[in-house]
Amino acid sequence: MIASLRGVSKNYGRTRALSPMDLDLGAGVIGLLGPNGAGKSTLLRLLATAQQPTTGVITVAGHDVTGSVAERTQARRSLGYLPQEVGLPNRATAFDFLDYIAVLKEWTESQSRHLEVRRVLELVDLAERARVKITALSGGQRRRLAIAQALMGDPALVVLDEPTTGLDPEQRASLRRLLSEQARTSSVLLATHQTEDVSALCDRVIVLDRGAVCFDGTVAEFVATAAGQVWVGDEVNPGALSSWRTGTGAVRSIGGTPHPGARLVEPAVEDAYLLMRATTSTRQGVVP
Amino acid sequence: MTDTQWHAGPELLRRYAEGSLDHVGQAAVETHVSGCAECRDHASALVSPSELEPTWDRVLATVTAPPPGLLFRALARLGVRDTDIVVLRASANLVLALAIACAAAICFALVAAQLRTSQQELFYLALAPLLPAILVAGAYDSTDPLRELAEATPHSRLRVALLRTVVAVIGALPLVLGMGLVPQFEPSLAAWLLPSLALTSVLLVLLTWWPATTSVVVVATGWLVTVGLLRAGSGLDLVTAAGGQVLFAAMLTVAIVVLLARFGLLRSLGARP
Repeated sequence: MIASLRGVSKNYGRTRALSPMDLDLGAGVIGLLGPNGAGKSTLLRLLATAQQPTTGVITVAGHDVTGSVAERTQARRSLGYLPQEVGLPNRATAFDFLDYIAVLKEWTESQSRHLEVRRVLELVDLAERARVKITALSGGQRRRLAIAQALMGDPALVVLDEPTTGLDPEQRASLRRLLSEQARTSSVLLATHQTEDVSALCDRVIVLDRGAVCFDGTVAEFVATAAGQVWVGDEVNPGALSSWRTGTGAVRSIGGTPHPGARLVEPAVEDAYLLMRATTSTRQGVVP
Repeated sequence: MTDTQWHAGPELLRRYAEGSLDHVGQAAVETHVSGCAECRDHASALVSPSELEPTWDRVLATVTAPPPGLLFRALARLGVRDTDIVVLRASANLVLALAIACAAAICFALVAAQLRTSQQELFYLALAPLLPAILVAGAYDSTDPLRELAEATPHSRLRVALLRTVVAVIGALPLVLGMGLVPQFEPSLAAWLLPSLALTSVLLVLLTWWPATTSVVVVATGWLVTVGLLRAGSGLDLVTAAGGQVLFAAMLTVAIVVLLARFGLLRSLGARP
């Protein structure tokens, strides 16, 4: 087990961001889904030791990050973290930025540090842009640069908040390959709104809603929660929880009473997510 | 050079590959090998790829890193650690922090110059000792866009704070000292120097436990309350009197001792201060 949470909760003043939860994170890619404000970023910050939980114990690579400074420092040596927004220093070059992060990650010997910087630049296909100022990089290149710092030192736990935002399809495919390779020995936890990233990349999916875990299992198990409830036809199913017209002109309906001619289809991660959102919102009295 | 008339013998190539020839011999064989494909093949067979890796690593590390600027090359020659230079280079990007520090110093001087001498004393005693402390906080993390990233790394925040404080003080100190040259200022007002150093040291100690904002609020509140109490009791002279100065010197000494102890503790805990 690479990381674990026991009874972890987080309050901001009187607002509860995370309800007490238990989680175990092993090797592999774990997708974290949930609407805005569900507590995804808070959970990632807690795991990255950027914040302390209100209650509970978090362990990373065998070290209690909620304990002493020494334990927290040890845990940080096994961590790679990409916040949702990284304020990259525009006046610095890509190399200088990564060199600085490498120093913060205790790469004290300059030659090995520079080689590690080059390695992660090559991982994200930015080696040729090493000496270019960050301000001259495109949005996708800046995001890849931010991802590169999280992979520095081959950390045991990689925590990524919306890593694919701003990447084009080719870059996203490249990042998926990179993360799946990293996940052979590491636990890669990524928060995302892109359900296709989850289906293409993740071994496991955790769904958060209003600070609580409402699903935790394999992607196949998650998709199975929508089995028998996804229909394609000419019209919207009466009472459908969610529906939209696809590129082919057919209407995809989740739930409801199938109208004559509607055809049952295999669900996707997005269907399961929308179904879960619709049912939890209905239970909580919120119109989806 | 492909029609070379002679070839280096096996023994000569072996010594060349070992690097055991003298400089002239090494250079001569190097020149020949670079133009003779046959000898180059023989020479490359004498060196295993694993022996070449460190050399290749050095080449890669050198060509990847941009050359440092004049200032940072000078710092390296003065013996400043390579990792500290990297932190200072990154801190140089915190233009906003430096601008705030310098603007605060200029505003302080301008406002002080407009006051009557009696008001200047209170103004100086209330604010001047806080100025360096505020510079420390401003230079530290309140404007650092990478703060969240930095907090998730094992590097000592205190060391980064100290290095950035140096940058801020170098930027602002000439302005602060320049204020002392304004004719109407009493020389005794230089007495704020010891309180400034003491409060800044206390702030650095607090930074080893708390975030910059909390630390500076605690120090500022403590100092302003002290000045307020002294003024209410008509005892502001205590600060500039010999006794008061000795007290601040003692406070500075204690703060430095605690700071050094915290450095030692952080090191024993596994952090690199």
